[in-house]
Amino acid sequence: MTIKCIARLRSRRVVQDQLDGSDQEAVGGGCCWANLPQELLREVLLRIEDSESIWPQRKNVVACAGVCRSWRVIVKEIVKVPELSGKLTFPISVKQPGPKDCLLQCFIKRNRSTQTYHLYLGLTNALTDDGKFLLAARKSRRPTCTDYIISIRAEDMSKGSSTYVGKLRSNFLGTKFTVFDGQPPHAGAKMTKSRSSRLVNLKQVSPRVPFGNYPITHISYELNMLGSRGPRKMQCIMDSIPATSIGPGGVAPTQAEFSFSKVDLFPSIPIFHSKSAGMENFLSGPLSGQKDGALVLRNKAPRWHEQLQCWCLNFHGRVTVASVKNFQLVASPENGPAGPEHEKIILQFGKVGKDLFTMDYRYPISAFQAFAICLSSFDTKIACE
Amino acid sequence: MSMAAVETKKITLRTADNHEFEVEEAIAMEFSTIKTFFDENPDASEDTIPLPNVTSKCLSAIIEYCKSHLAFRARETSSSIDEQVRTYDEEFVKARDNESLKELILAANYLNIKALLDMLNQAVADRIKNKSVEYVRRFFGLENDYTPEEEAAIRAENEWAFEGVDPDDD
Repeated sequence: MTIKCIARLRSRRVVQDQLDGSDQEAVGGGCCWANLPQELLREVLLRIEDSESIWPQRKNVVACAGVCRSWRVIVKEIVKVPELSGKLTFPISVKQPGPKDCLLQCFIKRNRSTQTYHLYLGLTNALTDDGKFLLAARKSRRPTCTDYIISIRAEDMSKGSSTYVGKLRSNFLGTKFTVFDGQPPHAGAKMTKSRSSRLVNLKQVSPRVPFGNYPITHISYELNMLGSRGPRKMQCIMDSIPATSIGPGGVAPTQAEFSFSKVDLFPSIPIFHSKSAGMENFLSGPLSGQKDGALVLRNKAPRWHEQLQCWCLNFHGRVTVASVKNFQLVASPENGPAGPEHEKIILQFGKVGKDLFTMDYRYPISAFQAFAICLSSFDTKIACE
Repeated sequence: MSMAAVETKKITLRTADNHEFEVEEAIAMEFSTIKTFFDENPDASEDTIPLPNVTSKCLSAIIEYCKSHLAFRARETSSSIDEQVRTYDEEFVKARDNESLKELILAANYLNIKALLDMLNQAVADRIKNKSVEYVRRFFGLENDYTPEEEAAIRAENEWAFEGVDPDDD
């Protein structure tokens, strides 16, 4: 036995008192697993990733990625992005585009007294509040605007915190909103307050990731022709997502790692996935602030139901309480020639209980973007009774 | 391999610690490494096959496993047989400590016994599921090679993953 093994055994004996009976086999002589061939280790991790496919068991996959560097590399390689697998795994999953083939079903719980909103991934088909926590938002009213701070940790909602994900800011009237990402959404992104003018190249990993606020979505609400008697019009300009993303062979930017600190950690893992040749075209110039080429979403117009005397949208059972806040977003025809991809509902939001709302989203938007857009629906006063 | 083999032709295997095991041909053929050797060298007249990567303790356990599974396969398939196989596999693994489990995996990999290797890999996966990062590190004797900053990020990542779920019994 090497010195290292002996030292580990000794320290383990100290811990032994705290371990219960089932842990006995973990103690003593286990130090030689460290040189298990990579392909065998990969087999073990593959099995875990495959069997722990739903929450809460999926936490075991995250735990395996935290064991040590070599494990993290293997797990990160095994775990597929939500776009392909339909599964959320690491915190960064909430910032990656949803699945292409189906809507990911989530729900939002509102707490009026604390002015907070919690987003959960639904775990059952029923409209109950049984879910995996994803994001939390807290409303903060200011003299000229309202901010919703969005965080990965419900207990920690401060902007400077390492768990800060982004925010939604509304204008004074509550008619226009901007979603900000705390991390650069793609290479070449420019911040509104540029602390450093450094642009991040796709293939490079910068030693310091500019940590700030990157505008990624502009939302606006309008009354329609019928004024406040009719459903409002909603438009979302997804600055960080190209219109081509929804076409055949389209690609949406995907962040690869969550910056829990202001320093770029895990430098062996690039911040961005380089997905296909299409990315180079997209990244030829910064998109933020420019409307050309960005994906535009609009809400699907409800139909007037003469017998029921109300505006109706088919929410496929996912929304059960009528509310002006309910909406379905589809790709706007102005993105390009209309095709079947323009029929797909990309985001759907609606009330199912007093403080309970469902949120279903899919590619090319992420859970974070979807959440922020839904929050704007809470806030706007347009056409509210 | 001589086609005029006597029914119970035996093959001798010599382990790393110089023990010799005589096994029936049928069992030796469960080791794909050995089967391949004989397939590619049909006229081989080697009486003893050296296995420098396998200890006697391991080999005797592996032989037992293959013998039992051969016997199971010889019987008619039924759900009760499946149940017996499952129970056998569970017992095979349960009593093994960490070190011998690992030795078995390496030996099964070397001898290329797919079913056994799959079963052992699954057993390890099951042992570390639902355990914390610290437990897995202890179990595998792995060093935490993260910087303090990275460790903090891992902790935040795990906090998010474990949020609202039952704490593990660790």
